Amino acid sequence: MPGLLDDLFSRRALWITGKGGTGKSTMSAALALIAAQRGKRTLLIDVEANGDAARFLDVGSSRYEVRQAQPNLFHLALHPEEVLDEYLHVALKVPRVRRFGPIKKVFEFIANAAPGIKEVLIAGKVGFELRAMDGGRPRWDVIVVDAAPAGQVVSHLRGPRTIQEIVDVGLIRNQTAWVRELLEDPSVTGVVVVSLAEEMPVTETAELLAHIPKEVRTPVLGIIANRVIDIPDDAEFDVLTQHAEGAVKEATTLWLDLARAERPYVEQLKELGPPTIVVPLIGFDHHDLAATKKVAEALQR
Amino acid sequence: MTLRDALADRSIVVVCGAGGVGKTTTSASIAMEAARTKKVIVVTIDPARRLASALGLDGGIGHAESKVPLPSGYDGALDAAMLDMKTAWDDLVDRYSPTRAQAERIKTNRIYRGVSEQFIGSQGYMAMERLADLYDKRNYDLIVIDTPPTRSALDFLEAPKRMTDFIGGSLLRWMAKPYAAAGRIGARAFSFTASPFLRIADRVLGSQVLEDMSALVMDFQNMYDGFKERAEQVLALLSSNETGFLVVTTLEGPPLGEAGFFIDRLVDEDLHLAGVVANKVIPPGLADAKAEVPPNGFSQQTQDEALRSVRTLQTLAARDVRSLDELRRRSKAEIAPVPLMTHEVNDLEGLAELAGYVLGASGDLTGASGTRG
Repeated sequence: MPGLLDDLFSRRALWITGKGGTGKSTMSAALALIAAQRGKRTLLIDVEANGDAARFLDVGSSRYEVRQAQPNLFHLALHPEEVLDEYLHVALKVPRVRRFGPIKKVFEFIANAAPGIKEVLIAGKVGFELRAMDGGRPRWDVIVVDAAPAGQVVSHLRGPRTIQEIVDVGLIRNQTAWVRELLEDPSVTGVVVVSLAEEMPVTETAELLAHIPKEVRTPVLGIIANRVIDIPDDAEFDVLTQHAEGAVKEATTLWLDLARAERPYVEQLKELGPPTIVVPLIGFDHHDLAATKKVAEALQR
Repeated sequence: MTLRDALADRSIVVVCGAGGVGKTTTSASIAMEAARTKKVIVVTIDPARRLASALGLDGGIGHAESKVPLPSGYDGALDAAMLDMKTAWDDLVDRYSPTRAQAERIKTNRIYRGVSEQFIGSQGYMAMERLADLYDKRNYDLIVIDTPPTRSALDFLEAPKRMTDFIGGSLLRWMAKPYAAAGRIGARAFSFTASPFLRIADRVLGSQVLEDMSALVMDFQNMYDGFKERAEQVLALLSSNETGFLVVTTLEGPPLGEAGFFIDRLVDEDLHLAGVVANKVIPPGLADAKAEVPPNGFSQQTQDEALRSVRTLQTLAARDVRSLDELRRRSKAEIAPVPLMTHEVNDLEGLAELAGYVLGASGDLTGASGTRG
């Protein structure tokens, strides 16, 4: 669905979310790959230190550093303590915390414990990369965020607001203001929800769509219905299964049953409002760059 | 040996696995099957409405235990409960606070209000707290507990310790000390220059947040002994023979990787891995369908689609066969493959059917051509 992809890549920050197991990381990697192939300088940010997106791009390590994966395509895995370290250093001119020893531990502790700190660090890092300039132009044309699962993505996008509600004064209040503006500007940032054509993921997608506007102004730009079996002519396919034998009969019958079970859920997803891309079920052995490329092709069909 | 045997003598079954693999439904099916003869409760983190209605609880599942109406042939009893984080936290504060006034003070602290929903790992902690609570009451023969989907697998195991560390942490005590010494009102009088940490924190967060935080820390510390005792009790319970762990996974790369990590951790920690449930298994017979061709005489698009179905399912079936082999190599525990179903589990019958696959009543599935729908 090229129309929706054009719309997505007219934004600079795309947060990809979805229920666990729906293929959120696969889609993040595939979308980032498409952006890069279109000539955009693209950064894929994995909000999990040990996220899957690195593997899907064949990037070996997922250390807290920007690594090139493909032409125009870079990857960064977020480690909250190191983001905090960097924030203190860059924004507050505090010497690298690790030199303080025990103080670093205190900060790690707070990053893990205090409400909203981890979330705002992630939001802040995305904001920071969005604003970064290299040689007079933005460092990144597009940032794809392999975001938290459906329930938590709102706390990330809302991170700056949460901090502003708790913190009345202080540096961080001012610094969260511009991050919030970027992440809630519909011309800059958008959310893409990945779902399967099954009851639970569809329910969670619907709930998320209802929840997001209550918390943030960031728009949901699209829904990806992943791993869908879409048979062009049901009736004829049904006749074929009856003529088939052995393993072919078993495979085609299963295929038809799955397609029929999924169809109402695909329809439900399409009725939720945002444009929906349907990505077919693709059989691959390993989730690696080759598999990601197949998914990227399917997304563009 | 089936999973039924492996779970027979347990009074606690902890069900773990990545998100979206079918943990909650699996938990419910095991609980229901056990309710044929036992008094059982299933505790879930985030139950689907479908699960509630499958259990006949049309009003949904609440934080308190609700009774599941069982059909004839089920001579035990089944209760269901879900974990509501806000209620769980408030209960916890009420239980461990030395005084009522302190409990109220904590509950109105604005940092606490944020903490109770967002504290990292608190879902895991609360699940374990609920488990210990239910175990203490001795109302049930079997407690089946669903765990929150966590990226780093066994987070909930560490949750009691982390919670204890948080509350009793020397670092946090050290941080709160200047405020405690200066008294809440006089906090600003304390010289921040004495502590580089507080100097930075004050600049970043403002002193009001630090005051709220240190007030909360001081109040929490009075609950420390209660927390610590409970954390030790939970760990002892989880390590005992009464508890069996069940790992649920699908055979796709990422969840399978997490399942492997789970299994290794359970073994390392000397916990009892009762079995592994492999969900959504493609019929293994299809793994050999590589050279098979669909019948001719249909339109090109149907012919193409049929070929695509055979090739795709062949690849996935071969992956599943290989993944199951890997699981068997990794663990001596019982592995129960559950075939990919084309219908949702939406009633007690569906749960009973699933229990058959999980617990082994329907026979060993290995090598069978798989059952659909």
